[in-house]
Amino acid sequence: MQYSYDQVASDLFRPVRFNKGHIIWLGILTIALFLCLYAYSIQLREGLGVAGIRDYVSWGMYISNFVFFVASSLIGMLMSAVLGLIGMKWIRPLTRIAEIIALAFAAVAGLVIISDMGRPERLPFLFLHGRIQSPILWDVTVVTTYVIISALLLYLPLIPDLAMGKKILTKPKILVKVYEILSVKWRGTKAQWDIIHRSMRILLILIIPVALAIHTVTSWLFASTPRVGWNSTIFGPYFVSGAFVAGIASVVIAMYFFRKNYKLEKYITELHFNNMAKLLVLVSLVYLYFNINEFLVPGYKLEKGDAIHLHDIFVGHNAGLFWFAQLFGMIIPIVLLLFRQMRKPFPMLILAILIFVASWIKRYIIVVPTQEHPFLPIQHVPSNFLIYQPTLIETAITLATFILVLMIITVLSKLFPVIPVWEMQEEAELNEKGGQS
Amino acid sequence: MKRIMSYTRFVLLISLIHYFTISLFSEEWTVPTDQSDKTAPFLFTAESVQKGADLFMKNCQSCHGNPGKANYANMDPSPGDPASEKFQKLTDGDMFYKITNGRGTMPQFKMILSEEDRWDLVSYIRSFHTGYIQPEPEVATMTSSGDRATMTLLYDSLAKMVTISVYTVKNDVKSPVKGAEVLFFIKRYFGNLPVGEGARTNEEGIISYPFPEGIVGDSIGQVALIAQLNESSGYGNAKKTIMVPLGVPTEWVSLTADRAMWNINFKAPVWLILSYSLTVLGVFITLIYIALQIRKIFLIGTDYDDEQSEKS
Ligand code: HEC
Repeated sequence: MQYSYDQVASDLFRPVRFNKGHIIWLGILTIALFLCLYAYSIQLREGLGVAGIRDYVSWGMYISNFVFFVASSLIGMLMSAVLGLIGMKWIRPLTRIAEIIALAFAAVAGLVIISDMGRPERLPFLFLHGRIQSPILWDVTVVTTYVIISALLLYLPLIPDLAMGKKILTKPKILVKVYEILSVKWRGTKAQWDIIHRSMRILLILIIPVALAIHTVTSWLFASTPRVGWNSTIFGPYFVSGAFVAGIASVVIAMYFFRKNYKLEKYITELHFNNMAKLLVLVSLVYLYFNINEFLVPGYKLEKGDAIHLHDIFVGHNAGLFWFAQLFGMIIPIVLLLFRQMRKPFPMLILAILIFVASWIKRYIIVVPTQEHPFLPIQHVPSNFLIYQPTLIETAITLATFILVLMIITVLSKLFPVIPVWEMQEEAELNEKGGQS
Repeated sequence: MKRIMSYTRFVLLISLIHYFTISLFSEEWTVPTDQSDKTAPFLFTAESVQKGADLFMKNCQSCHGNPGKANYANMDPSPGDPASEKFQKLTDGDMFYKITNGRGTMPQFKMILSEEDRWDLVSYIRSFHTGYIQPEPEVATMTSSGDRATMTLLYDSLAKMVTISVYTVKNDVKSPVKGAEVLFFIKRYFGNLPVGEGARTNEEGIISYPFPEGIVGDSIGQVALIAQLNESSGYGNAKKTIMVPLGVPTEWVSLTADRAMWNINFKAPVWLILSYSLTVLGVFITLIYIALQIRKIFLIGTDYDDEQSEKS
């Protein structure tokens, strides 16, 4: 299916409007969000005791969720920067989707951290009294930076589209006004194009180390602690490669829904799913490699602490979650995606959803079991503190963060075209020229 | 999968086994009858209670907590609260014996505290028992074979020898004590380190004691050496502490003196401060540059509009 230059703008700006369906969808999300915020108000009033976290497992679902959010946000860097800079043309219609997902997850990741704070009003203390030696301070720094760069990477290529959109869209009036302001007098002169191209190149290069830093530092929150299961030298790359797997799953799910709902079959084609599938297999294989290292090496030496830990996650009471995460998050997709039939949009969607869930569970498995068997027993605690049991309130608060991500993605994808219009026009022009000669 | 017991069942079983072995074991701590009947060599006074309280804070509180507060450490077997009935129903002799000899995690204080110290502890523990009536003190056993002895301690820094003479003084006449056992300790940060097996005085009431090699001292090698007369010799419990320059001179540098990862912010390693600040600064400058570029797009657009309106 090909698209012509003239179609592109109208095709891609068509979904930019809030119809009834979307208002209902946003309404449901808002109600759900308020229900979950009620759970948070209980936590604020009663304290963190309403969550299942106790002396033993003090990093529970919240921190697992934080790691997952940071992980999912890394996809922006992989798609736009790594693939873009090495000249992969096919990713062009997908970069904005990846960037929206990155921005949504990164922005909410900061809130997820606050959900784990018993006294959230003390958040400024983190900056006022933070120690420069603490990975937590580095993490706060780098997450904030990443949010800003992701926002800029979303915004810059949007400027030409905004200028175009303000002519094409007629209503609502406010949106046209917003487009007008945000397009900073874009007239498409050569000087302006030069600036966009140069700035994009700088940001795309800058985001690579920043994105690597954000997830490496997140892994150091664990790896800089000499605890069984966290005391690992490969935690940085282990986290980063796992992040790409989770991120690709998010993008595939989003691709599927945008393609169907926004009627973008001409722009997001089966070829894109096929290529994303291959990319997914590649990063999954890298992730598998790090997993083998992470378990085989301590498993071979089997020091006492490691033995307890590995026994717990391989056959102990965390085994169910562990094997679900390993099988559905990595091994089964790698095998299935070898078959062309599985690389079609719908099977890809199913696999992506499984990987998404498995990736979340994987973070839980990285964060929680370690704390259930510390080197020294914690004194003066009831024995039921030993096993972590998330509570309903905790689950609702975690759910709230997902709802927020969905809301951000929904709103952004309704306010702006999810596929870069001018880039598609460029492609169409090239194709047409190619066709004529 | 039958082999693998469910985790909770496993934990339950282990703790049951544990519980039984512990409870069996803890019932067994019996004190020999002659030791059990032993009584303190002096009457408990407010002074002995106070001394006992100080000793308790230093040596026992970490496990036994504050008597009467039941805030003892959570261990197996449980140390228990000294104010509790479990303690108070022991005889003075039982208590003294248990503190002296210890068992399992309960340390042995024979070499760490003098007999008098241990009785002071008993007196302190008894102060939590309102109905307690002290049995008649056995003063006689204390200095059965005569008078309390005195000690002098000398050292020879070349030969690295310490010489102790033990004597009694009666009517200004010094007479050497022969065959009295002296124990040696070196004062360390957390209590006294026993050195050697203890030795007995010779005919002249003297012990020549080679100072052990490799004992860490202060910056000029000073070490506090304690000589303690063993009470069972029957000459009292004289104790002498002298500073001897026989240790290895050691310069102590505080772990927080220099810049280090574990130090406060202002003493963070320079490389860390530099790499953090320079990175943040670099990214910050780049972002400002990008912001200025966006402004430039705006300015170019404005110029362009002006040109267009001039043309038309
Ligand atoms: C390292 C921890 C520890 C320290 C320090 C310690 N205790 Fe104990 N103590 C124990 C434990 C554990 C027991 C129980 C031992 C058993 O039942 O096998 C115990 C038992 C005792 C008992 C016997 C109680 C009974 O019910 O029979 C006495 C008396 C006692 N301690 C006195 C002291 C005194 C006095 C000190 C300080 C000089 C002291 N303990 C220091 C751990 C400690």
